[in-house]
Amino acid sequence: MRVSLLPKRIQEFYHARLIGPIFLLPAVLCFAFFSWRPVLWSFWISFHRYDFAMKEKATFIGWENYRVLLSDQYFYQSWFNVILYVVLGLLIGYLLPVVLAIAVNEMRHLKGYLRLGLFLPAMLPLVVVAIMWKYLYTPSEGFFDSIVKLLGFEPVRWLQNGKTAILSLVIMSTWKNAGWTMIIYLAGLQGVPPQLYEAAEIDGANLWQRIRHVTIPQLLPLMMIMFILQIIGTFQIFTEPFIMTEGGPANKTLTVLMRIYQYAFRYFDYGVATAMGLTLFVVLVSLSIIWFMVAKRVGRST
Amino acid sequence: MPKRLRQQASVAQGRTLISRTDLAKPLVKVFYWGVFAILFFGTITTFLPLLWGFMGALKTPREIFAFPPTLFPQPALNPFKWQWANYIEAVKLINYGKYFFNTLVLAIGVWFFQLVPSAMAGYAISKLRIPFMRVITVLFFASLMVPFQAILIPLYLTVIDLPIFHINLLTPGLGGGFLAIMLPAGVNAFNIFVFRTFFDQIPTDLIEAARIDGASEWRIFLFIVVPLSQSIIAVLTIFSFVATWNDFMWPYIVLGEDFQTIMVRLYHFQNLAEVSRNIVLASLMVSAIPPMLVFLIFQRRIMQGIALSGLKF
Repeated sequence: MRVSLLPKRIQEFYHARLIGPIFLLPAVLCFAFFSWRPVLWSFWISFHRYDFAMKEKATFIGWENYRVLLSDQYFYQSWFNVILYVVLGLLIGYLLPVVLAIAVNEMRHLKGYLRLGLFLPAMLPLVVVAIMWKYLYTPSEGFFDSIVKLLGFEPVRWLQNGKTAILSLVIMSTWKNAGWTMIIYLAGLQGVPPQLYEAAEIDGANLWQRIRHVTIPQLLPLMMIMFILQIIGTFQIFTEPFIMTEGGPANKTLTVLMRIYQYAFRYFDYGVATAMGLTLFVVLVSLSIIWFMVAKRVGRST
Repeated sequence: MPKRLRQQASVAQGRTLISRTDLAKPLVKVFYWGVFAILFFGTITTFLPLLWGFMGALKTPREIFAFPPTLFPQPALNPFKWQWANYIEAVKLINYGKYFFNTLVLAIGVWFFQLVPSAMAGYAISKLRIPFMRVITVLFFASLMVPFQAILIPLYLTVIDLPIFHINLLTPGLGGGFLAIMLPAGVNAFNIFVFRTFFDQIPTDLIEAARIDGASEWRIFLFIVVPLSQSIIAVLTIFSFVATWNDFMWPYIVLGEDFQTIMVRLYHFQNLAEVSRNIVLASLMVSAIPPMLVFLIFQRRIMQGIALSGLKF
């Protein structure tokens, strides 16, 4: 028996009531300080002048921070860029991992090699990939433009060219991320019951029909999750443009998060930066809620 | 069982889109090898940029921009053949040892804060009695909808002036920003969720029996629950280490000069005008080695883990 100096009633109270909250406490403290309070505090800061010089006496200024945002052309520019980023990212990179996963899953030769080979970029740190691709994209002299020149075309000037800058970043992101997502889909494919394929084959379904009516419906829940995750992830993009283009050329790759960063750490205007963060917050939470409602409806109908 | 028989049995069990009889048809065969060729070409495109970087580090700065581009260092352009010394130079110039150590210390701290509070909370939700259970769990999981980037600024203002304590976590005396990364790592609803789901599978009878034997909740947690959860802890540990190693934005914002991680250091290093590109490429390669080693060593675990928790990324 354990010996305790505490009176029995306190001990009983501890075992019955107190031990649960005690186990919960570390997480609750972390969440309170670094998640719940910052969210609530955001709203307060966004209505105050809160800059580096006068941290102590933030003054209430009503909607002023939002007015500053709405009169800032780069606010609109960065949202436009990010939406373009999301759309291009979905067009180029959304279906690719699904196709890769289905194809790799069928392979009877070198399957392990193919899986690992396609997964390779996902093993590299993003910063490493970004710097390396910045060199590959070097205008005229870089690897890619050299090949373009060898083929007899004008150099594209990738990241320096306003027309191709975002596209170049999306190509790099797809190269980096497709392998990771492919592994998730591959795991999902292992859960497809073989009897379904067996039945489809007996019914005379050809390859495309089997993919269309067996594989895709089975992967659909996963595909829906990856869809919203890719959108949310792309809305917050920062590291790639920050390292590779610094938002250029002519702010063509400036993202929402980069603009927030500029407001906070270049102009030290935390009020406007927080207000802009809240616009991101509202957009992302609304997207999640819309997605949940759609997912529920789709889940009910299938 | 002979190998061929075993193979046949496993194919019959785990059949996929194309069956064995399909594959005997010539048209399907052509299609199959066509897809194989495309996938094989895909692995070349994933490999080529990496090879270009690795080889670029072995060239003279002049050759990186030679036209037509070369993949392997050409003897004509490299008076001293392959410049292996570039790698040594890079390790020295970037001060690899120091930043490796920084990153390692940070990774251990982040690991602690990512796992311990989450595991305890997961245990409390799964097996203990807590008041306002519903409200608290909803509040935990609501945070999954709030990406940390959207509250970047209030979070920054929190760590430079921690409420109640009124201390600045970024001052060198307090770890130069290490704590500003470790403490918020405790906000991890995903890990709480994973742990709770895992603990739900541990039979309550087992825990009841230990309680009757007089074990305290702490003993039960440490000596029964944690050892049973080794597999999940291993996966979360690997991911935690790799994520800390690769993380950029938040460390870049909060870490003081002497406390930078390898990735933050790399960013500053490649911005220096006096460092030539072959040295930068070499430093990129050596910085990518540790996470790649982790991936290669724990390949199987990680593939399982992505299936379980890949959604986090």
